[in-house]
Amino acid sequence: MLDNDKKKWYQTEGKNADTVISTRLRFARNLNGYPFPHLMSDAQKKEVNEKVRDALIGGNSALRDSFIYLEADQLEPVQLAAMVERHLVSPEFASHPTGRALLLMKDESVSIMLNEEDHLRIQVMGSGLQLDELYDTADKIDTLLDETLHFAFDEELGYLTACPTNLGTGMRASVMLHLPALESSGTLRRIAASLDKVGATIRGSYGEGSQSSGAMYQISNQVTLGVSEKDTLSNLTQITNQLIALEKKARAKLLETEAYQDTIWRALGLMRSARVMSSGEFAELYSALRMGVAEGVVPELTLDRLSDVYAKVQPANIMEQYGKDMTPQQRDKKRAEILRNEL
Amino acid sequence: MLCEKCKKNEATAYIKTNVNGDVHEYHLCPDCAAEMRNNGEFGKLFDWDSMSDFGSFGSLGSLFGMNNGFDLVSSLLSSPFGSFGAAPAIGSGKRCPVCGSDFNAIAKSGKAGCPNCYSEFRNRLAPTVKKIHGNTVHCGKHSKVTTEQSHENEIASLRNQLNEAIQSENYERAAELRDQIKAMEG
Repeated sequence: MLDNDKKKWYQTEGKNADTVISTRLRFARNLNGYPFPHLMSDAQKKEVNEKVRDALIGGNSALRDSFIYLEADQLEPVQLAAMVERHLVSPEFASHPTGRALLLMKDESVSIMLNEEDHLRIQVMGSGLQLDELYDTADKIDTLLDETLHFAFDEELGYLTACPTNLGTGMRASVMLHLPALESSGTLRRIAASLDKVGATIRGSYGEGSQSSGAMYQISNQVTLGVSEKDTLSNLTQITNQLIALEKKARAKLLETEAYQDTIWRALGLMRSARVMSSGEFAELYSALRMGVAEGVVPELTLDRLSDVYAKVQPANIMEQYGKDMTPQQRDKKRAEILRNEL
Repeated sequence: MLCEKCKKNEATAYIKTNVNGDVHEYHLCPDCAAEMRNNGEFGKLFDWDSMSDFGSFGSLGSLFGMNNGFDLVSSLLSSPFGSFGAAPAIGSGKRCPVCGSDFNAIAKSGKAGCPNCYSEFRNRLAPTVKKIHGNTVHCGKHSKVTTEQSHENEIASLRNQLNEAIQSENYERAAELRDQIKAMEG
């Protein structure tokens, strides 16, 4: 289905990779003359899917060879789950695939969800911290599509979206951070409360309502109306840089303790020799090991090597590779086997 | 539009029922709606008296897309707006010409029905927008089309859909689209 030989964005190391896993940015856009997806008929959904598909990859579009078009209900549930793990689609998109479609760039750095909450969710992803770069990409795709599709727009309210929380720029920018030291010192809870005042919010790694696992946190802008894209991004960059500085300071303190050094090496030891490993146990061990690699405690491994292994042992990705009927127990054995081979 | 029943007064109440897949739509004037409530089939379907606790809903509300009396009550209870007093009384049933949503449906789902709802219910949506984003207007990227053009685009898009509906002999949809275009050209 996908071009598996081509290197994906998450297999490369980005800026500030010691603390920043990835950056994502999405624009919510809609077409005039159609109800929003929650009120659309199947026929209308099909029309919108086809209109957007033709605007992006039809005729002589500059991007016609860069994207593939996938109808969600043609995909196996396990494929959809794997896409959620890689953040290509939202859990909401995967759980109700009927009438929805996806336009996916071949290196998986751009995915356009069709008929999720809005007609289009243009999503751009990259490793490390790169808000401005991703904005440029999203902006170009948005402008290109707007020429044909003429997105719903209002002088006062900006881009019109199904939910009024996205009015204005329709832009949500998120930075996925690895914050083990701030989490273990308890500082993070205090920071989370104060982020609200500066227009940002912090959540688990799969967005709204999701729990954090392995000290992965997503920080994103809250307000979309009355603040320009440029100001939103510079505000978020500032907050991210402050969080990075605090995390680095807390890490230095944590690494002074022999106990934490031991935790890191034990994590590597377990990954190299365990015979069964659940995804929950893996998330905890991975968090300790990643910090060890990032801070030079474990010089024999690199961060992009680790990110690659991380993607390979996620539940749906294991099932996609080794059999969709695997039980959780079989997956846990397979996960341990992959880890032994890779590390 | 005239009341379907007496064909004399302006129809201000829209009622859609779906009882085990049997869908009926009614456009009625307040009098006929009240009469239907007391004597007609709605009286048999719903225990109206038990709903009199629901503030303004004591009179015939806009029963958009409900399945049965029980669903109606439970969906009102789960309204994000929390207070039934905030729901408009019956008869204020202005509907968006593009998607058919009224303000109650928007309040209930927390989502606008279509882009045009934001023009159609601008004043009534303003407090919610203000609550979320503060007292402010959009600044940042603009779509290439201006608002006026976008209104024209919307009508053009509906015309395209109308042609497609006629070609595929979906006359019911074509009639709906024709009415929408007429209302928008107003």
